[in-house]
Amino acid sequence: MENQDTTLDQAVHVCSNCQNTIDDTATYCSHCSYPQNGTEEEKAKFQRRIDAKKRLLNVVEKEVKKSKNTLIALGVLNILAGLILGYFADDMATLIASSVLAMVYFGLAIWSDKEPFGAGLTGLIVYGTIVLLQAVLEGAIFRGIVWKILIISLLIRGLKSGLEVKKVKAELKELGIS
Amino acid sequence: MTNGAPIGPLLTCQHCGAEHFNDFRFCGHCGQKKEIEDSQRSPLESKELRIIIWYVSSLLLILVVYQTTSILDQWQEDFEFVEILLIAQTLLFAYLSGKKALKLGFKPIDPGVIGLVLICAVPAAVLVHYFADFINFNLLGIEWDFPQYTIYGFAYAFLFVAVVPAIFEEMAFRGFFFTHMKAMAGTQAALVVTSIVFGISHLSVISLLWLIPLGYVFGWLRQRYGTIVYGMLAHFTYNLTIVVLEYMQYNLESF
Repeated sequence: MENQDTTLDQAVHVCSNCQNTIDDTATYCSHCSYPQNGTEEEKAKFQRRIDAKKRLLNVVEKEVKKSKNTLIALGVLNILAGLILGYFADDMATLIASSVLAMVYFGLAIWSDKEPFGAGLTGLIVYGTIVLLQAVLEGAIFRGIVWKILIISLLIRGLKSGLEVKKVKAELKELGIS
Repeated sequence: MTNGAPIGPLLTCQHCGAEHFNDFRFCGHCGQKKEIEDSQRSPLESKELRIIIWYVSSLLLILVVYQTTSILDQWQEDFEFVEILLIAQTLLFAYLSGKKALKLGFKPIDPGVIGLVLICAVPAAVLVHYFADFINFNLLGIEWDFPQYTIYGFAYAFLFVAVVPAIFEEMAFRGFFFTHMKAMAGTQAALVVTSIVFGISHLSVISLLWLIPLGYVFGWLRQRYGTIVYGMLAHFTYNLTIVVLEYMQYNLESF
């Protein structure tokens, strides 16, 4: 570091935000838009832009986490329901079906770390099908309607935020922040 | 990025009109981002997601309503009506998606792959058939009951259970659904999402155990060879094997 700073000529040509070489006649770095040769006010504005993006990233990552927890909760509920019906009502069919569904939900929860949009969309379709089947088969449209709406809205917000996470991360990378 | 002599035409910033010698991501003069021609739209507003949502919800609605309201003595009429409805629905969404999304290329057909597909589909179907039987008899204690199609003759089952699903389910799940999902979230997401939704659309939770892997294999074939023809062939062979096995059991039981 010390060595680089001594050669003044080189220091002028390097962006202090993204370390790329820049044209010293330009106000802004053409790689990351940092106002290298700009005023203090412009530099502060750049910093505010980055802070805002980081705050947004924080918010959308929380939404994704909520959607992941929803998938885990659905898996746990299925396992519990299956075990209770399996042991107390000797209902093996429900036990097997609930375990398979729980496996799907857990799998999606794990996958949502990598691909929150795909996992949320699939979880929504799987859960929606189950709700629809219950509604038509048992006429139970309104049973636990508040929970159903809550779960569906958490999954929808999660998959939307999953896309947002990708976008904001790409934008931050573009601004020279990784 | 080179800082050498200017090469090629000058590039102009759309925001402030400043001219640049080299390619740039942000304008050095005003700090604004260079606009790229086909700027990335959010997948949430895309035509692809709309098609997927409408396709999946209408499909599930048709299937769930059919599954829960059909009465046994009207079974044939109901079944044929729903099949025709599903074919029309798939064709409508295929039309909305465009020909490119279907991946119905016939040109590069490899006899080796066809052989491999046929060799793998038959044992897979036999395995699944006996595994399902095992679950039904040994775990659930359900007596074997022949599927309704067996009473309408083999040709009927051949058409509605082997041919129709192989063509139309593949057109949907490995055709436009896969293409749209891939455009929005990448290949891996397309493989996982289409195989799980393919499984769920059969409305039997236990069969997800083999339908999800099956859907994944069909999707993989489409991704690997860029055509749904192999998937259709695999799907057809698999379903036909199941039909043949059911008929063998039906004939045995009826004596």
